Amino acid sequence: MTSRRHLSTLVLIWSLVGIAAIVGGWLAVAGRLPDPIAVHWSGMEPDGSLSQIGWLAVMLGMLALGGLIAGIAVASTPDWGYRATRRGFLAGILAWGGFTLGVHASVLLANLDNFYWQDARTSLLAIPLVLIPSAIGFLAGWFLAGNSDQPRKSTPIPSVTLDSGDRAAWATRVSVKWARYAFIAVAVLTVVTAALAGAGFAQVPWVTPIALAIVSAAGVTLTSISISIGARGVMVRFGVIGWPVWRIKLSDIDSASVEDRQALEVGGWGLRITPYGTALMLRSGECLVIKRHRKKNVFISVDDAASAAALLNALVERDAVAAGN
Amino acid sequence: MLLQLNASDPRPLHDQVAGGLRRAIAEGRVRPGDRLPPAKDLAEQLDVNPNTVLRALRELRDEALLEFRRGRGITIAEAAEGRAIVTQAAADLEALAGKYGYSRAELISMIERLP
Repeated sequence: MTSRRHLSTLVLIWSLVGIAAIVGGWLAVAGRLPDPIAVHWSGMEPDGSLSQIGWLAVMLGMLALGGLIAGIAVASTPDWGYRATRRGFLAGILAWGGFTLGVHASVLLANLDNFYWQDARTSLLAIPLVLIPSAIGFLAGWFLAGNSDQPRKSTPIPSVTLDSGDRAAWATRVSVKWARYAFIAVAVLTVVTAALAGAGFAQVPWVTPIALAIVSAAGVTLTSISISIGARGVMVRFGVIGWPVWRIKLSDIDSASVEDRQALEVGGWGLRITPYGTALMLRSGECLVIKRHRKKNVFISVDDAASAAALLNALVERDAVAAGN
Repeated sequence: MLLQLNASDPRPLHDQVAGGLRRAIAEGRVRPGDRLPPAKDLAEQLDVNPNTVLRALRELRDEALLEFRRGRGITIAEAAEGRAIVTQAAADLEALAGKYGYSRAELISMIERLP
């Protein structure tokens, strides 16, 4: 289940099975349903209705939305060699399919054998009827993804030799321009909503600009970083203004290496703290991996990570010799 | 961008920093438009005085390899790659000339007399 062709076929089969289940399920019980049917409830009492054909269109629309997003994902992801990528895709699409069918089934069941939609009471059964197929879809996708990753591209690390008086530093910047512009747009929206809330528009509660301000501040901070390695260990500066700063002392570092990582494997884009390690991923691909004493590994996505790892290893070694270990 | 200053190198530290940066530019490890990390961080990591790094950066600005821009920090200049190679070669040539007793003026006149 690794090639684009396999996944395209899967999306096609998924769509056909979905259409067949939605239309087939309806045809099987159409004679026992009112028209219009109840499609919305408050508590157990129905409070919204739709013609049978209208409901069918809504269900097929939900399926089409899933198919469209899946199609875009297949077309725009060149590398399906990573299990995490396949898992995210398959679990997502199959859970969405399960959810759609669950909603369909629960609506049909509530309407079954009622003459007027106003009599179509729902029951607590609707909850597992929606949740269980979604969960089954998710788990099926999770396990369908397979369990072997293709062997990772191992990057050879050049050797750097440092004599006792030598000085060396490595530094780089990583930035994601489009993301920064997106967060600047959010910042503009913050100002606009704050002005509207200030002007007394009741529709704009104060919580909106406050939430937007937090999102844009976090975004602008995490869309560019400056990293340096040298006598003071590893120093990471966040954002345009270079603050906050995160330092890892040489004495805390065991060794450094390079790995090819997808952002999803280490928890996603941005700063991620997971049981596997602390990751600072602004993009997928080449990563500097810092192994720390008795602490979680650190992953940072940078270009030329091999030079960074080589220097860090040389510095750590010299530091340890100097400390008499 | 990796900078290495050798303890046995007799050149002053700012020359070594400038040389390291020229090499990084010439080898394409940094590209035109890239922003350099803060000079303060470079100095801290190289364990040298911040003024040493600033002096090296100003030298490279005078060679048109770097651009100092208010609000955008220090960036690599356009077409810096080729210029860095030639500038470094010129610096090496001057050192070579000095070693064999030729003055700067004599070296310049030698270059001018080239066909």
